[in-house]
Amino acid sequence: MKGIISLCYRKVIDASSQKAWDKFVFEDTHLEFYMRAQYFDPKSNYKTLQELLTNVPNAEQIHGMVSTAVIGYLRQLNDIVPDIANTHGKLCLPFKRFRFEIVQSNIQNKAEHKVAIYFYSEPLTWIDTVGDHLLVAYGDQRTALANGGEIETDLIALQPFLSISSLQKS
Amino acid sequence: MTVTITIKNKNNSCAALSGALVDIWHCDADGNYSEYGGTGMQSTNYTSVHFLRGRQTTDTSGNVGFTTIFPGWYSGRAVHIHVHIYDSTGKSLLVTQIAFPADVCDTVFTTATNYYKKGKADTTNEKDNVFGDGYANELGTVSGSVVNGYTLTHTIVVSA
Repeated sequence: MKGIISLCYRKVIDASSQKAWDKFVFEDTHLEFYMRAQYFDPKSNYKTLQELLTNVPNAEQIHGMVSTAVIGYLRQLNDIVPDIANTHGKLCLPFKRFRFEIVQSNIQNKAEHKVAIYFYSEPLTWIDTVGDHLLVAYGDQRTALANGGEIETDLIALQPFLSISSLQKS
Repeated sequence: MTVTITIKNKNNSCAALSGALVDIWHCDADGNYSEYGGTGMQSTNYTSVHFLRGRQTTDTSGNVGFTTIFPGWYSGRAVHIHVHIYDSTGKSLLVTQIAFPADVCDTVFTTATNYYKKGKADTTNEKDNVFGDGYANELGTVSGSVVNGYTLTHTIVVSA
């Protein structure tokens, strides 16, 4: 038993995203970026995120402002991280915490718009690694394991954009 | 507190402006603003991302409605609600603030002391750095009572 971990999945959404949920987030965050950019740049001198960050003090607040466009869509996920399935092909990671960032954007060219959402799983008990799969149990099952009882487990493949973001060793 | 804001368009003989996006935000009873969501080094619990911030779209009468609380106050500013109005394409039309009548504020802060614990605001509308040069256009109409709650109505003219 290796410890209690949180997994973090970085979901990138851009013009090439195909899923309906992703497209809604793409459209709404681009519009929100345009709307909020006007707060920092009322004369509309700057068209891209990079220009705003370089030229306007405090413009980094725009990430948080644009994240408001995402909250309604996050609620539709019913606390389950999208895209990350167990070996049964079922979405399996519960989450409550997230982080949002605009990777790049351009008011006049939506094709350049790209955002990322980091989903942080609720605590998992990392029991072992089987090949390139993590053998985990949901929640803190260290006591049950130590007592020798049988616990429910799940197998999750290590995959691109999925990382271990925190570890607490027993 | 129930807030009703009416948006009128100067470029259309002050007719009601429908389809406008209206953001409002203000501080809580202690004078604190909510954080924006999900940024920085800390992850944010998305079930409680922000409070006392909202957006509505004006109807055909130019009206938007919000259900909120009577704002608190923080040092150096008179009581106020921030407003940002956009047209239906997202183009910014106006950033402004709504001022409150002094007598209502004084009543709330000295009567509803289980929520508002700081007493009267330390800045009057006249001394405020935003309202001090005149606030007739910014002053909201407030009616109601501590017992029954309050209603704020206000009309804002934009050039759309």
